[in-house]
Amino acid sequence: MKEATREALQGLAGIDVAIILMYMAGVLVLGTFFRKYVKSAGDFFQASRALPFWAIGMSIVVSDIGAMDFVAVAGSAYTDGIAVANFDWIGSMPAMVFAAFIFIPYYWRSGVYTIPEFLGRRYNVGVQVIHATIWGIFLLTMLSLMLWVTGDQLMNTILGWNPMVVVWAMVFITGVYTFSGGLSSVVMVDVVQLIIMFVGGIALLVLSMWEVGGLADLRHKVVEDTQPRMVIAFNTNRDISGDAVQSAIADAGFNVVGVDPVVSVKQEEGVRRFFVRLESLEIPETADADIVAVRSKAKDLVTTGLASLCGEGEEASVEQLRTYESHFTILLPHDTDKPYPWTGIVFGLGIVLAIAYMSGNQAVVQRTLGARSEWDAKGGMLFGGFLKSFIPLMVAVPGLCAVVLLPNLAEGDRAVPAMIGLLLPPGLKGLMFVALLAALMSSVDSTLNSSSTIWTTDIYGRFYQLVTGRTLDERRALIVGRIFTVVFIILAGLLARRVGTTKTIYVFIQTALSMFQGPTLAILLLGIIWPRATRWGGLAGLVLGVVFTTVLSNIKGLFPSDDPFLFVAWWSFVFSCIVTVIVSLLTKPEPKEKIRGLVWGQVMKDVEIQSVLHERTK
Amino acid sequence: MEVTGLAGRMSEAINNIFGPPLMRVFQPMNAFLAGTYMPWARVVAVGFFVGTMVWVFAGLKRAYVNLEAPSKHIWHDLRFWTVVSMLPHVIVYLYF
Repeated sequence: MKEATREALQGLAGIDVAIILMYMAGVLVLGTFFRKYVKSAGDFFQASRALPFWAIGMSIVVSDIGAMDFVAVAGSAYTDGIAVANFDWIGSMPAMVFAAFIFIPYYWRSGVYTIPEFLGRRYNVGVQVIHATIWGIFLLTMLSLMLWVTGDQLMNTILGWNPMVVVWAMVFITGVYTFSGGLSSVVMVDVVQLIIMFVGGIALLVLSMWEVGGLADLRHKVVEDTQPRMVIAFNTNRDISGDAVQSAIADAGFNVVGVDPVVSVKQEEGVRRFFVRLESLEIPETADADIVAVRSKAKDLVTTGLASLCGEGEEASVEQLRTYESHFTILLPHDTDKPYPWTGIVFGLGIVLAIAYMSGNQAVVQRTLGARSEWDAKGGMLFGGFLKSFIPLMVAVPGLCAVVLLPNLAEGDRAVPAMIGLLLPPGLKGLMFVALLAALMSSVDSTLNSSSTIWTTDIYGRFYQLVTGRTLDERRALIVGRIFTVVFIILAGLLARRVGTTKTIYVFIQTALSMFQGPTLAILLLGIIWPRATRWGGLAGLVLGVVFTTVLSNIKGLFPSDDPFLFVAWWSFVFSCIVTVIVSLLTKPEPKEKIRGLVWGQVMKDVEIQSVLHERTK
Repeated sequence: MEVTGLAGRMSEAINNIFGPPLMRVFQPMNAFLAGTYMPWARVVAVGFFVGTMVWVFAGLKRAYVNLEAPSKHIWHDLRFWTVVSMLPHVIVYLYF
């Protein structure tokens, strides 16, 4: 098994490498083609407001789905089951509908470049700068992370290429075309990349399903036929035999089916790992039906049993305990030991994180701000939601198939690369790699363009105004935007290794996002639907909300999950709403003239009012 | 992951100061939710999709939803798009 998997992970044929190189060259040419259309900041940041709905929708999806989603979502499906698909189903479509009909019309009609700019108009400069700084830093971190995932987890794993060489190649290609053509280049390259991504993703889905025998067989094989597994780790350089591990665990009272050495591409020095297949998780002399308690007891029993194999200064631990009975259950109980309980999914993800992400993420919203009409802006969001519904089929389902085909992978994140190596023939393998690269590059270019927009408009623009007393003109904004583009992509390349090796990918992003998604959504929503919300209310809601998030994230055992980002997001949203309402009611209402055109029921397509608002913002 | 240094000390301080009062608020809620009958979770999730569709169809004015639409044909009606996009999700949440 080990040899088979290693073989599957190795190398691409000449035709695959040729396809990858042709793709990179093609993207570079297509992206730089749009340089001739960029004459002003409006062209660079908003594509001259000429984008049709289909391009917006495709670009939103491909910007949102990066290579890390292919890798990490499939990995999560491999270890935790289909529940991870909630992020693209309940965590996308309803939020995109709310974004299309509540938030987008407001941004679009007020003619802003960024969400912080909108918040600045609705509340004050403080809210604008804080929000912009948080997003600016977050987007930069995301850039580094995306680059590292491609370099390390894809290209290094499968081709053995030096990850930093790959990172700098990505930096060069995406940097050049984003610098040249701005949002137009980004969106049009995204359209091509989405098509490639879907072709590659569907190929992987079809071949995976073919191999396992269809959906019904997959369900049966995963849920009923796959035995529970443990990953046992010893911190030793000594050779420990599988037989010794097997007998130690059997002595603890478990029915052990077999012990296999862990298949891992990167073996750590000083650590020996084993996969232990169990007949069941039944524990001797216990009638406890609570799966969480059973798991905990099983870990204790096994660890105690393994102590006899450890020498001085060595120890053994149960790193993972995998069960598969809920791998086809999309809504898991509140107290599940997996990371996606239904309460967190519906309230934290569906109501807060998803809406905040789709309505408050500059990388998503910026496409709609470049729409040729309001209908295209809304339609693009809905079309994007529709396309996004297919992502779990292309990503999570192959992860589930890997449970059947490659059950002994130590890290779930290796599921997709291993499946590509195992299933796809030469040519198609190259195409799938191009799909992964497309997913990565489209996320990088979008994030890069959005970062430079935020830093140019909301941070540098404000600073420039403070120092000179003048607003940033179009020509200077274009130059500054391009400089930020270059600086950020180089910085992201330099930070890639450090950021990428910090924490588990998907949880890291979600945790970071949840820190300020709840508070941001609270002030955005109240700012739009409640005219009484004041500048001080918004500022207090944002700042205290982030503080509250920090408090919740640091208290152990407050929520059932180990990484309770879904619950933290929900409660920080509720807390920020309360703070914003209380502080607003205690402070002086905003003048009616200031909020005209920016709150529910007063939105209008009125150039005169918007120019008055713009002047007042100055 | 064990956090050390200043971040670790801050985390410990937050845990000590805010942990006990917040535990008293959240633990009863966790106990209540852990006992929830699971089919209710499915009802809530499906209700979220259906409720959103109903809101777009009945709660929003057609003129607001379709402002600047290229035509009045049904395929340019964003309410129709909403239903087409969301119905498959209802089926998925009933299947899984």
